Amino acid sequence: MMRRQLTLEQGMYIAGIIAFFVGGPFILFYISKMDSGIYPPCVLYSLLGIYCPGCGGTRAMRELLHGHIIQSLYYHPLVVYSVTIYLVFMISQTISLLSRGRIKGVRFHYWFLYGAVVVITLNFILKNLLKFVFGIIVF
Amino acid sequence: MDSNQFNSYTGGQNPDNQGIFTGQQNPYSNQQNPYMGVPSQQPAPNPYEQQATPNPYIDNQQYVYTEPWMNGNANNKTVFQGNDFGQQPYYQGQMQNSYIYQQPGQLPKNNGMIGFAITGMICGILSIISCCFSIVGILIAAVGLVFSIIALAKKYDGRGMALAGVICSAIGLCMSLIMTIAIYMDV
Repeated sequence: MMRRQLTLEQGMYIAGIIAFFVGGPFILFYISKMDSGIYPPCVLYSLLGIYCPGCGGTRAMRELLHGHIIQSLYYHPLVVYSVTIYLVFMISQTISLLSRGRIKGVRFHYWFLYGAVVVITLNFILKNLLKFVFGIIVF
Repeated sequence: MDSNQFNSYTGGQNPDNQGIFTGQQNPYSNQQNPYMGVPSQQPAPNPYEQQATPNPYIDNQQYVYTEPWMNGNANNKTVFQGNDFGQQPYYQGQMQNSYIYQQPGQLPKNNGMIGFAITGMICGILSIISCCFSIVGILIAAVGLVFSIIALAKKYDGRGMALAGVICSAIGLCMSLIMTIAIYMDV
């Protein structure tokens, strides 16, 4: 019996569905415990006062789930960037699947990942520059 | 078409060749052969001719024939060898255009294993942003390193992404290790 070879986009679509059902409840649970104070502060920030590359991610996710997109961008732009790409990819691939290929879905591009690296790096540099050069504490 | 008619073009290499075009009665030995040169005294009427030459069966020059659709590109040419007619094959042309002929045994560039590089880079990015989670960051960075190194070692697709995955995973691993040591040392 011949196994049908999945394309890259089809594989990512399946991975996106699995991530939604596995990662979604985990993120909701994680954020629901945020205000309880059980999570320790960032170690790098506690030790050296430097914002780590992931600082603000949880707050950004919470703000996005509450519908505050600007606030989420302010805390960590990677969350809005990732969720936007995820939604556009999944919705377009679903439409492509339902239309049986008549409408083409968004294809995977390498710059999705390179863009994420750029966003993380810029966020890390900018926040620490604001704090140490201009004396502005972001959060 | 008769198979002997094909053999007649291979000249002296085929022992069974008793072709009608061999020897001095070969109609291609005259100057009207469109694939062969013409004497330099005469103007070249053939539009495919690149240079006017003497009889190709006497000298050892190469005759370059460029197809009209090749736009005169020197790399896209068919080479005719003008050696002795009785000893060498009549036609020694070889196409050098890689867009037309693939070399036998040459692997295609896309071997369909780009998933390793993508996974490695995603894990590398996740390890950087989750460096505060100590053990979790180390595990994600290790997975990213493994996938990226496999993609590099096996020469899978996405070499640039695999390299970026190695760098991101290494940065994430270093940061996670520092965080973990700081947590357990209770600094």
